Amino acid sequence: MRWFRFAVLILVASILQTGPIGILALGAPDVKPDLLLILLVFFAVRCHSTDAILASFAIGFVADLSNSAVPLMGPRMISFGLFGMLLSDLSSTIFVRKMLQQFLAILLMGVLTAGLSSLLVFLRTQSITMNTAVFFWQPLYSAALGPFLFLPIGWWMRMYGKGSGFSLRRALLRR
Amino acid sequence: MLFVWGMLVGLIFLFLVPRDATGRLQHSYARVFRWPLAAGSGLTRVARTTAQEQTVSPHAYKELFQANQEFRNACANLHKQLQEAHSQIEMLTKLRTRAGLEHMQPVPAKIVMQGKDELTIDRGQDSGVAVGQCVMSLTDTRLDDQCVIGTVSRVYADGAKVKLLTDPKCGIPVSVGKLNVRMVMEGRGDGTARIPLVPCATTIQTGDIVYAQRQQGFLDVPIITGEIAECRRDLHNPLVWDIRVRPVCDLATLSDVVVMKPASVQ
Repeated sequence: MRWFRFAVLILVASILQTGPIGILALGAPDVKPDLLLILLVFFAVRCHSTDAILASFAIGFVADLSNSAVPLMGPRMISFGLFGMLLSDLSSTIFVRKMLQQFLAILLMGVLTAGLSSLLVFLRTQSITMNTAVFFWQPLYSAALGPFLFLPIGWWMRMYGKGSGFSLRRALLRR
Repeated sequence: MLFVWGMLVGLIFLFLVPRDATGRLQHSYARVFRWPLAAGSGLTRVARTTAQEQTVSPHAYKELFQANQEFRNACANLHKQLQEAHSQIEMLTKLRTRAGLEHMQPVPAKIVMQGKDELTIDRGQDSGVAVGQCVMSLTDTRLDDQCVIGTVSRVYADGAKVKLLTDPKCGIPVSVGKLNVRMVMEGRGDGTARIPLVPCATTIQTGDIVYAQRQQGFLDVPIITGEIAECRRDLHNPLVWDIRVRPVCDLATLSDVVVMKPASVQ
């Protein structure tokens, strides 16, 4: 795992998420792809267990840091860490390689992490905002876009599949 | 183990770290990356504005422009009204803090119509104005120089008539200077007033200040109303003075007045 490239990648993703990604919003400003969610699923399915856990918590931390709408640290860190770990364990048994599988994984992770984050925010602040964009439309949009981003992310991180033995050529041919 | 540590750190951030500390952390992130964040936000704003402009028709644009103009006019009017209200509040506050007027409630009013020896104001029964209440001038300059100019003679729902002290039918209890003699001032009808039946034994001279006397329920403290313009022996009755009183306030240029209402009246 190339941690320096990982750090640069999540920082760039957080900056893009806070700013220019709004151009891709459809209708409401909240309906835009969640780059950090896509990164979470990527590293959960491609990395070994230890690296996946660390990456999940780090991505969650950065997601909390860049989310100025909710002045709280911790909800996304916990939800990303928990579900990232679960997905990483699950992907040892069920390989998430095809685009449809990646789509479903991103969608499921998006809904679950949004739900747990909102619950944690409610426990801390006793207030909750039910927003269908955050709970459904945003994960759906991310799931639609995510599988196409796996290739460039994999190229940057030099990670083309879980463990060794996978090559870029094989990954392209499989698609 | 790593998972447990991660969860622990997350829970510490969530429940133990104060929200202002986490807020400062988020602000630090925004400060460090302010340039790319600002560039990104600007780009998003431009893209969305451009997209919106393409979807607005010329007719819709014209309507929006007109609505915008109307809003600007309304905003300017409200701003001016707010300024006037602030100015009035400031004046009334200074007026009320004068010694003796703490238990009086000043009701500001605008002069709607000015006749000979009479004013019509825009406050009436709805504002608690009643017959007999004293009316004072209200000007921007020299608040300490506000003076009694008359009394309320008739009241309507949303207006009232004020009989000025120069009206022959207006009689105001007054005192002159430091004299402890109660007198009644009447209007002459020519823009001045007179104080009749003052014996020549009383020491009065030109320039003495005339005060509207304290009246229970109407005025808590004597307030200036005029000054002696002329004082000579009465031609018809040499035993008394012929006193002409000039109002200290220029009634012709007055636009605002204040009705002194007892604070207990609603």
